[in-house]
Amino acid sequence: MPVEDSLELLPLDAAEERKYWELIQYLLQPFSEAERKLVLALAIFRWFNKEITEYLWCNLLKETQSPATIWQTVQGLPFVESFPDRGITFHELYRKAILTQLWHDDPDFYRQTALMAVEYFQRFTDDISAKVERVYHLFIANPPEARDSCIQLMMDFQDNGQFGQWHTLNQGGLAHLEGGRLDPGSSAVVLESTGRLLRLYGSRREAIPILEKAMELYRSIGNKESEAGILYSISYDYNHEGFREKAIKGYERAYQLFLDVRNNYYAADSMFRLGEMFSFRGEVEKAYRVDQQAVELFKAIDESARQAEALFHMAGTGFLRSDEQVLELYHVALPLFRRGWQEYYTMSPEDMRLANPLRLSRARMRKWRLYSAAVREGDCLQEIGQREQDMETRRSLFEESQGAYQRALKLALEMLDLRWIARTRLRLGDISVLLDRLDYASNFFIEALDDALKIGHRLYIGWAYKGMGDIAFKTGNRTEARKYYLQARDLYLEIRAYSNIRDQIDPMLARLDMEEG
Amino acid sequence: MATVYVNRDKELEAFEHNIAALDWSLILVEGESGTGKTALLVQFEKILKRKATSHCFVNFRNSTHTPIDIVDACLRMIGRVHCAGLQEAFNAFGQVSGIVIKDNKLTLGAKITIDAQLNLRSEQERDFWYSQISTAFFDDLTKAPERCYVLLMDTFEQASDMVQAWVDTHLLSSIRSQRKLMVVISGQQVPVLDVEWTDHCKRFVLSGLELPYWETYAQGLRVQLPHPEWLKAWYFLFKGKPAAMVGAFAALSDRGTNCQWKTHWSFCL
Repeated sequence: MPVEDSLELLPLDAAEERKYWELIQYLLQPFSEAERKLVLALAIFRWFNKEITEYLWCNLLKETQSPATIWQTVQGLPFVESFPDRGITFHELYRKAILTQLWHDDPDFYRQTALMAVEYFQRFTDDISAKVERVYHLFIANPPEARDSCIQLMMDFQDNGQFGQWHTLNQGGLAHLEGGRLDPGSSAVVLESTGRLLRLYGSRREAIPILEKAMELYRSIGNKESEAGILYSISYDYNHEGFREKAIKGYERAYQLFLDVRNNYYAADSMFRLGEMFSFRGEVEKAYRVDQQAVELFKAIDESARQAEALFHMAGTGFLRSDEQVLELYHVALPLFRRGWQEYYTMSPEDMRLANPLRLSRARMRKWRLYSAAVREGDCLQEIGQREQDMETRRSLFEESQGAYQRALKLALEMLDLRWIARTRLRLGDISVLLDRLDYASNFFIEALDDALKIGHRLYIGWAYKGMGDIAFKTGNRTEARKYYLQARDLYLEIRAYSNIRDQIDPMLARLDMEEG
Repeated sequence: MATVYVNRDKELEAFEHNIAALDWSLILVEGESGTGKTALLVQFEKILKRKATSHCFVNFRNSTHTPIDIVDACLRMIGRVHCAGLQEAFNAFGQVSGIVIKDNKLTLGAKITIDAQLNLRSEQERDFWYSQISTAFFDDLTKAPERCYVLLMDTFEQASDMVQAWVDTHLLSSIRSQRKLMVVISGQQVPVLDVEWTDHCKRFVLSGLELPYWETYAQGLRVQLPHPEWLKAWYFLFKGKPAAMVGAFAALSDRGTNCQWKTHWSFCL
């Protein structure tokens, strides 16, 4: 039956793609078999140019005649559109129709062309766009390799801040997904990549359902490591978005999954996060018990710094009634922090122990662990120092604490995260006040305030005002001190940081009242 | 390359009128795929060229574009020398990032580095810097020498969430009552506007063209239809969408690529 007749027999409510497919056949009737195939093959490319057209003409279709004129023919097609900075493409409706039909009727040709596309793009080793296109075609030509390459690109883009390219990578994967061309494993990777980029944009709420879908897919194919990796990440988001119960359940399940795949580091880490959740909820005993388990788990895998972190957290839960017991825990933790720092410091950025299911590069993970160890070591020294009666020892502990914070600040500055930078500067401000280095302290608080204002972090803004109040108080400027304390108090009230008001601000205001009679 | 233009007189007239009157600072072109949004924007651009109006065109079909790419496109449109405030914002960012930008020159390397430096920071800090850069740029824009500038953005639904958020948060809020920069956003999805935009925005919702239009079109082409009902059949099948109808007419020729056809396609202009 002539195409024209078949078109007229199409029901009006036929699928859009079917209608366009008939139209394309109608349009391509006057073309030779090779030309028709070329048009179908070109539709597999998201964009193409003269070079790609000739490449397919000569290599896929094995045509040797008139490669130059074929480009003119293609350009003249009525459904060709320009593709900015790259070349041309087919109109979305025509392209979708061709891809759907090819995938259904001739998947071998689709795969063969995708493989040629992979070979074409892998020649451009330094071109990031070509890497993205290569992965797009690999999803059809070689899905297992596509999954690995996609994950690698995801990590590279995160490390290098190339979110535009990352978005394009995701768009390609999602187009395959929408077209039903991906297996569950590849679908999961594409959704994970999409969700992880959304998280980095700050759209956590939008990312959650996408990552949950990815997680379900990983579960369906028995990829527990990846399932657990996502669950660990979104449990953080659940908590961030106020769904603490879901966060707790998430960490509990992540712990189990990590144990199943013998990823003991993240099993221990999930337990540690669980302790934090219970602390936030004020369930001190639960938090303490869970931290105890985390300590044992970290100890079993010889992760000194993380073991120390769990001990430090245990001490701060408020479960222990006697200050001696708390101090004892800090004393156990301190040498572990020091050892942990040394271990991470001497660890190669490519060390396998830094591999993680969170799709973070090992180098990035190493920096994060070093930062965390340094900050906590400083905190631990400060806590011990504040309980020390001997003034000389106390001062020396504070000085050591300051040194640890300086190390942390250097790392935070390298990692460019203003939250960490501000947090570390605030700690440096506090420790400088304790050391009576008020000029230093003032600079740290001013810088931290500037950082916190940039990111609108009210807790840190309040902390900076409180620190500036402490300096004013120490220098006898009571009016100034009161002003800063009240500013801090207002901010803490806004964010319902009642314990900060109770423990830090109100006692100072009471002292001011007393001194002023 | 065959770009086909179909009759959108009403929209073209309104656009041309707005270049002179600046009644609206935003024009939204909305419609399903195949209804001729891109072709309409190409026509808008032709009018701008004819009227020698400064403009830039960002097409998100290449979805790698970032907010810095859009700022750069606008910067080139306005002229780097007219953006002293923006240079100050770049200097401030340079102090924390180590990036040196001189004379507002955003080379490809500089754009990549700025993007990387912004993206590696937390979302809050990134937003702070976008705000600094955007505010400086829009302040410069109000002092720029020409009466009107036009930014055309196509295939908006493909823009990244980051770009869409930047457009919502920084671009649109800065131009609403400014009447200096006219922004045209086209796509299957366009920004959702609040009621405050009522007097500042014109919305074109494109759909397929009616049958009489295609009958006139066919007459203009002087083609021999294979069957008296041929045109109706195509029209009902494809709801009069230009992307399909024009393809169908092209198929009536010996080859779709026939040069004679390309001339015919633009007859209605």
